[in-house]
Amino acid sequence: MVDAVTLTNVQFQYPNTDRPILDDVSLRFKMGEWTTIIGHNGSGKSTLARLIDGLLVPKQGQIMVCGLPVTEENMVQVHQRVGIVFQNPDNQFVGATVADDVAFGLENRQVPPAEMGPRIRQALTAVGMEKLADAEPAMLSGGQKQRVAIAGILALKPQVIILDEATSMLDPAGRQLVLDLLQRLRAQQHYTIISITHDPVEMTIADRVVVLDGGRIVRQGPTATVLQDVALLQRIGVGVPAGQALRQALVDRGVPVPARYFTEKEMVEWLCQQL
Amino acid sequence: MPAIVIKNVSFNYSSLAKRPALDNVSLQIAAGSFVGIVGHTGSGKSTLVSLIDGLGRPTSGQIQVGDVTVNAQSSMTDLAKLRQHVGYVFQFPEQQLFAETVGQDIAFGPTNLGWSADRVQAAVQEALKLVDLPAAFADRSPFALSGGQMRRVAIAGVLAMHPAILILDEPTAGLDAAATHRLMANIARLHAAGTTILLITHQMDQVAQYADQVVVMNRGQLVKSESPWEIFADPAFLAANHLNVPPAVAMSHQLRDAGVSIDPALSIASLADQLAVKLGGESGE
Repeated sequence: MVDAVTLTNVQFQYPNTDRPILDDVSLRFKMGEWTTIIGHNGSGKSTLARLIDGLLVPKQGQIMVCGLPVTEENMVQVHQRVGIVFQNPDNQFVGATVADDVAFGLENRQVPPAEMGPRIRQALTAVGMEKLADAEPAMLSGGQKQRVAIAGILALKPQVIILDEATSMLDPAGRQLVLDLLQRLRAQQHYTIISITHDPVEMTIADRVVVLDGGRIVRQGPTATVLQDVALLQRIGVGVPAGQALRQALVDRGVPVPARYFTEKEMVEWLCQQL
Repeated sequence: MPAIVIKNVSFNYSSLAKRPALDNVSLQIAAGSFVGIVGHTGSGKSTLVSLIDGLGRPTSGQIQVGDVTVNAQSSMTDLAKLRQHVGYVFQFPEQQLFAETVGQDIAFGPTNLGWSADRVQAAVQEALKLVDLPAAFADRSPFALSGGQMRRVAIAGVLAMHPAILILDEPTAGLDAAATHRLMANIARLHAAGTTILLITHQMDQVAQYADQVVVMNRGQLVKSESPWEIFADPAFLAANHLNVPPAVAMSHQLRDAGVSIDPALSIASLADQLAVKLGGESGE
């Protein structure tokens, strides 16, 4: 099966900077997989997202989305395959109502009006916002706005969904709503999800974690393997999941705890066996 | 040092509102406290602190900060007097940066207080130090900084006015873990130096770790004002008020439920200390 996204030896440098923000990055994202990209501010995470969607063009290297090279000529098809949800829910709302906002992207793609209504309804139902189709943006919570942003993307039937810190400005209830939605979308297996995040919970539900540091990939692998390296997480300034933080605190106090990844539940179970 | 005394305060944003934003709230906050103000979105947290900052007049009841008291009849001048004690860092304060340089931005508040140029400059430098930014940042553009640095510049602008009471509304929202840790350490240092801290947050781990008093709001009412120990001892109460349980608290409850005899813990470190003793490690660092 063709990969959802591949990057081959990609380099990108912003104007007026002295070094590339991404340097010789090669990565594969398999169809249907959920990958989390972590790294401290300025490590090139968001640049990577924008390169995949063709919003930025690499200086060197090649990017393919579902077998299609990301180039100027293919831009329309690339945008059809890739949808991005950004950080700030207020900066992304363009419509006067929830339904209008979802319609915006469809109008841009010149979807026939007769087809628009059903697609908008379907997308809003997928994110649990169908009852608020006529609501104004000012009436919505941050979590609801982000779900509308995701509906706007689903309506365009993308293959790849990129979330650029999409839950970081939401309150815990709003974040949970969005994470639940993403889990449901993953279960349908139609979508390849790439999430850029600092949130330990969002990290732990991914299939795979990629760590960016200094413009390069310093680690990638199954989530449980990468998150085991507490020293690495601390060095790149991302939160350490709580089970793993307790494991490390016990090791620091001279308690021998097996060197593997522990969720909170697994840590409690292990402790109960010992005590 | 001014204490805060809130007596039977209600507040309506509009006579058309279905319920008051604040409903008969009474609360005392001792000078030098670190208060976590928590509750679901729309519970009245921000309304409560905005009244303490004199940004609105209570519809009924009274608010006393130090020697200033305001009520429904107070004039704008009286409300402004509250502000001499209080600094308010709004949500996403970096959106309010406006000046050409970091130094000019931080100097804006102190200059408006009518301070001399020398005193303003000293306050700017001191404020930069309080938020861990180098003195040379004063000459840089605030718009060429990272998000975490912009946040700290905005907070420095409030600290430069030397407020005895500092209100912070979700100060770490959108920051990465390293920037969050650094900012919370700055706030803890201000508290240790005597500043009263009122922290509005959804991050229960911050409340568990730093606060000595937790105020729980729900639908405009004050539901509880207790120590973090009391608040986090009751999972049913937390769930009823839409509050998350910090992971350290959750794990210590799960261990206790499984019959492990430990005290409830508010942080990973204190939980690890207790467990290390039982497991033959060393407690403490």
